[in-house]
Amino acid sequence: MKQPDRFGIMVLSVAAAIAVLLSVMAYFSTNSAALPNIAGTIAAPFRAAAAAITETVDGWKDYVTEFDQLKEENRQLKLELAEKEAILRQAELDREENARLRKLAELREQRRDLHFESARVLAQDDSNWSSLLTINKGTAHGIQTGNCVVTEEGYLIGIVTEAGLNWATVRTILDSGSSVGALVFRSGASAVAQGDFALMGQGRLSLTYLGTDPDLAYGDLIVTSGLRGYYPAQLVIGSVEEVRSSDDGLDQIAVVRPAAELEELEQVFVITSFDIVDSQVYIVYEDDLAE
Amino acid sequence: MQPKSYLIFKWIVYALATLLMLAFQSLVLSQIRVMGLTPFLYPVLPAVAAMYEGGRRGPVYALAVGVVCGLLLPEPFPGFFGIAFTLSAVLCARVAERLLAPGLLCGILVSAMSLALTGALRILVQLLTGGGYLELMARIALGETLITLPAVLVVLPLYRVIHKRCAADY
Repeated sequence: MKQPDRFGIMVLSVAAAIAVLLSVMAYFSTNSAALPNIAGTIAAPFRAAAAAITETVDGWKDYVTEFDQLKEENRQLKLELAEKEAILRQAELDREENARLRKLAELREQRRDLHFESARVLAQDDSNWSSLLTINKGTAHGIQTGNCVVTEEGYLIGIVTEAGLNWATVRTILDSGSSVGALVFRSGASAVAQGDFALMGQGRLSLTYLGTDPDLAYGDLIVTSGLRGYYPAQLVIGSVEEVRSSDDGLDQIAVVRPAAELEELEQVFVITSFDIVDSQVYIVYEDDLAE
Repeated sequence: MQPKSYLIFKWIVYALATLLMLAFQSLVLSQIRVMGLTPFLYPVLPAVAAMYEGGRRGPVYALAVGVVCGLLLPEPFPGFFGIAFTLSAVLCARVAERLLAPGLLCGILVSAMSLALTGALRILVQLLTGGGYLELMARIALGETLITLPAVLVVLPLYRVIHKRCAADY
């Protein structure tokens, strides 16, 4: 019986050596290590086929089970669209007025140039320990690690953590390793939107570094802060659902419900580059002028 | 000593069965959610193979499956599945050799062991890297093990057929 034991230890040592090798390769790679890149590239067509099969089956299932619900939703959306069109007309008038005033005040024009690459979700993470997505575009399409991924409505889904030739892994905002600079849209208070292992299963994330007496209310919109320029500003993360004390009781945290429906994703948009210019107000004091 | 061609044939069939099980996981099991958890079949494959193939070939198969899974799936650190599955296979082979004869009961036991061991190693890594919530993680590991065990009934007959048929043909 001793021989298999020794053999087992030998195979375990090989496994450990492979782990060290893969770790070293991952450490020195920018987007993804060579072996995972090759494996991901080979697996991509199979994942795409599996995603297509799942989508088709889901489509049939939805057709049977959700027809009435969709009809009602369609009616509601038509009403909502009519309301939004009225708001849009008003916004158009406001925009023109804003442009005139901006010209009078000699302010720089605000600009939001976001460059998108659309991608399809090939696979959602099978494990119960993380919240990741695999998409069908990679470095060949200009996608790099650190790129933000949003829905068609512009809601933040997550950040690209690994990019292969024709695939990329996206860590969603729910994953416990995720951390994004955030702002409370109403008050402008800054915070950090973090994935929380305890909230991940409920499809929620936490808002931390709020201080002891945060100005937060149920439903407050949370957006990206864009500080330091890593990620674009004003991407919608979600809305506040609950404010409570942190585990150590020293701080307050908020439970945030993501705006994006992360379990229903089929198509996503990767922000491959961005150029945002916010207005800058130059206040010139009379004293300064006198000098 | 078995002829080389026999071994090659058998392990090709095992590789195909593994691919089939990978497809089963991504097409069927990943769509299932029980109490917010999804079954996780991968640790079952090396356990069942080690039960049938013993302490020499089982861990080698487990290492191969672990490396492939590690390259395709997110893992706590590179090579995690390789280590976890190989360790599981070594232990499962010992159970099958010393405790219970390979079969349904042994298959369920070694699968549960492999799932629990993979979960325990994950918890250990998570704790070592600073991610807390031991109780929650233990609940996830236990839940994952329980909801995956029925799927063992799909893996067992398939691997049993491969083990028996390949032995009978040569």
